[in-house]
Amino acid sequence: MHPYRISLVAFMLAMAAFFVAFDLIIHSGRMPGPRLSDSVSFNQKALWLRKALQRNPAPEILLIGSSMGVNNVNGEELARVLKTNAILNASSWGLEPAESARIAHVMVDHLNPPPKIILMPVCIGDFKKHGPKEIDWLSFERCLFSPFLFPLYLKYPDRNYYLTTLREQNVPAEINRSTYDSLHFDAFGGVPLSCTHFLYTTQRWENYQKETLDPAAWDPNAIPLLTASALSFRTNKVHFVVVACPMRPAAEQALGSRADTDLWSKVQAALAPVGGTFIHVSGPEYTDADFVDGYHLNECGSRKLARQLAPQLKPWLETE
Amino acid sequence: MYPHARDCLWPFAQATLTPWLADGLPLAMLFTSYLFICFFLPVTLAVFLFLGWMKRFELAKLWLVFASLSFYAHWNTRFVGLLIASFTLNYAFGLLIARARPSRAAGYLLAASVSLNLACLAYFKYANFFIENINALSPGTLSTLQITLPLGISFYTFTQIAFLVDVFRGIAVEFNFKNYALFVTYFPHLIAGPILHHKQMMPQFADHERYRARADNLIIGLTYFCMGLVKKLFIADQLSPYASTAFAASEHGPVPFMAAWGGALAYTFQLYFDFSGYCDMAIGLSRMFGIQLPFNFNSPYQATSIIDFWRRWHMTLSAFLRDYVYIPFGGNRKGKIRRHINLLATMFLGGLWHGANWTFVLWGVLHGALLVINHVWNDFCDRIGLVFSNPRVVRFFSIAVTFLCVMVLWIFFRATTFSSAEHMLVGMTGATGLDLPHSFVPVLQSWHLPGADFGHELSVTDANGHSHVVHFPWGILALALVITFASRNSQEIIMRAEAIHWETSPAARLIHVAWGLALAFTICASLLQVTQRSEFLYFQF
Repeated sequence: MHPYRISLVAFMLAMAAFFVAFDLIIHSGRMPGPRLSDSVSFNQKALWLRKALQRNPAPEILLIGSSMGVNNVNGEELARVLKTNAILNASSWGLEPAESARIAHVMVDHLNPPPKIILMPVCIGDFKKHGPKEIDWLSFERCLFSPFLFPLYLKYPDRNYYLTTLREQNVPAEINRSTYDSLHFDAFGGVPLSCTHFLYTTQRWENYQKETLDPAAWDPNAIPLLTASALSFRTNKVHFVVVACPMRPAAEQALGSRADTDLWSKVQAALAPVGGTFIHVSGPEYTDADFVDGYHLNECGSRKLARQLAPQLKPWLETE
Repeated sequence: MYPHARDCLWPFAQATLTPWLADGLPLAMLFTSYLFICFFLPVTLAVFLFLGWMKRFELAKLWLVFASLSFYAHWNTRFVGLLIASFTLNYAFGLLIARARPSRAAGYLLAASVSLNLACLAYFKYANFFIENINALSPGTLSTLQITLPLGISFYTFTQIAFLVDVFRGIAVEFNFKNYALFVTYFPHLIAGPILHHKQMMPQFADHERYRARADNLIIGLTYFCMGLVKKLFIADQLSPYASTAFAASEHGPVPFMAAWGGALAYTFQLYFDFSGYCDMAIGLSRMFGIQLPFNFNSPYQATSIIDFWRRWHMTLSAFLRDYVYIPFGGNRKGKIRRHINLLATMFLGGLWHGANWTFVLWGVLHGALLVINHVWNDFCDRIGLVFSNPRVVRFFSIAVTFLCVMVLWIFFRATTFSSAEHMLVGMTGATGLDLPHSFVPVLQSWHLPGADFGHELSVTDANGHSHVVHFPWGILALALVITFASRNSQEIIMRAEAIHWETSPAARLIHVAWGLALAFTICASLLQVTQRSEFLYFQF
């Protein structure tokens, strides 16, 4: 063989080995999700959803929303009470209602049959304007439904991001779930935060005190968007349920009545005519032991909420 | 769900087809991008070599034209039409000039076609510059236009002007539209050169032997490409933050001594490694397709004079300016004074070609002035018969002085305003104080220097208002210095390797296995290094 051919063969074999190794890392599940947005949580959730949809391509209950969806509704408890494992939690930290609704639309468009129920747990903060996350929605769809992930990594080649995320993933779940920014999803896609070992911060624990309920800070498009989504989902025979999550007793006392009149009544009024359902959960059964801050439930609280919601969801689940 | 076929083809479709369907895709087809290295290049090369193997040579050319236009379309689909119109019109003009030769009509046709090319270039590149200058003289006279500068327009316009002049001179005689379209659009040189000559390329495109897959072409081409990758990603891009920060700081006021020198030095090496890296990649890519492009750099910072520098830096542009500007002006045929005027005029235009800004013009004129001084000095030495007794010492000082001149003039090239350049130059004189990096402080404090001001590292403020310290790139600068001054350049290294008569001995086999593995390692390391979009500096010209 001519020496240059030897070089060429050595080169091609080495390159093939590199790409095979890269592909193996992706398929081993160690590789962080492609950088589809500025939110590491969203990116990781997109990758998790891809795998979850491969396992179960027909979820009956789709959870969407912000951290309220991630932390506050316990998928395992919901599954146990409703006797179904077809629950998919597609929520992600910091998502605005518009972004959550878009995820739901993607799912409804692609899943056959579509989910029976779309459940969106919310809190006051979800209706505020957040910073843009620069989500690449087309790539998000591809991440969920395309057979190949590799092109998405090529499209977003951010070595530092992948290495940092890879390192953060190495924290064991039991430790990670004791912090606010845990990325360890359970079997349903939620993150149940530790009831016993959660690392509280005073700043977060008292965060409700900074809430002014100033309508100027709210996103004016949020409620109309929920209305439009409910209408759209109804045409696909999907029940759209918005759940106002319970607040810590001190927060409920400080903000509860104003939140009812200023926000929740408006959400309810907007959803009712278009077939959407609004459920407001609050009550003395939620104590400080169920919360990690003013609004986020730990695993104990999230199980309570799931048990409380399940009977209301059951009739919709049983209809064909 | 997406149909599987669509998903399988998606990466390739993105690389080649989608630009035709959707405008404004945020995809960069840089030589250093994943899309280019992982999809565009392998697919384009494989199809080209397959067609060559099938002896479908005309189809192979058309494939390359299509791939090249796709490559261009990734930047902006709107200007593909301009590119196609440009080479179609110029080819038609070339045919007309060839038929009209040697009558006067050929001259008129040449004048018309060159004027049309220059008018197009002037509109896209210089219209707003012209308007801004009018407004500077008479404020509010004209409003600026919303013009996007088509990528590579300076390069493909100059390539085609050279073709038209060569046709007029009877040098370019071969007319084949497919070959011509490929000559202009050929993706390795389309965006930033090297500037090609019709007579260099046409025989190569017509030679069917070049369409064969040859291991030596692929390996040599890959070697050039890898050298370019290393220059760009591991040197130029590493120097870029410091140079950019220093020049950004100079827009707001005088820059401290160390930052000014560091910034100027960093930019001097960044520009060289960026552009010569790009050229190495272009030469390597082309070699993989069996086509040899001219060299564009020959260790320019080892030049012993400014005249020598321009024989080594951006050689194809220097040759263009010499053949199509300086010589038509009269060159050195009309006396020394006229030669100096011609040099200044040529370099004035050379400066203006680089960008529509007076800083580029001043950079060109200053280089012209240095060339004139260099010629006067040479004439003086010749007249008095001055011969230096120690050529090695003279060579050392000549290189040092030339490098210093070139580095100082790059400040005008890089600065966006005269005041920015002035701030850098003032900083370099030490008039703003000796503001040294922190790492110097313990050493210098122990020396008890009176009046020394030990300041801070250069810092940059991001969009969120956070200040980031940019450390002086000692290591990379040292590496750049060693490569620039103490090692052979890429073409010298590769030509030496090519000249070896490789036998099929075990040692030769081992060397070639190592060679192949080293290339693969470089590509893989580069793929891991590509973390963000970083354009080549010469794309803006």
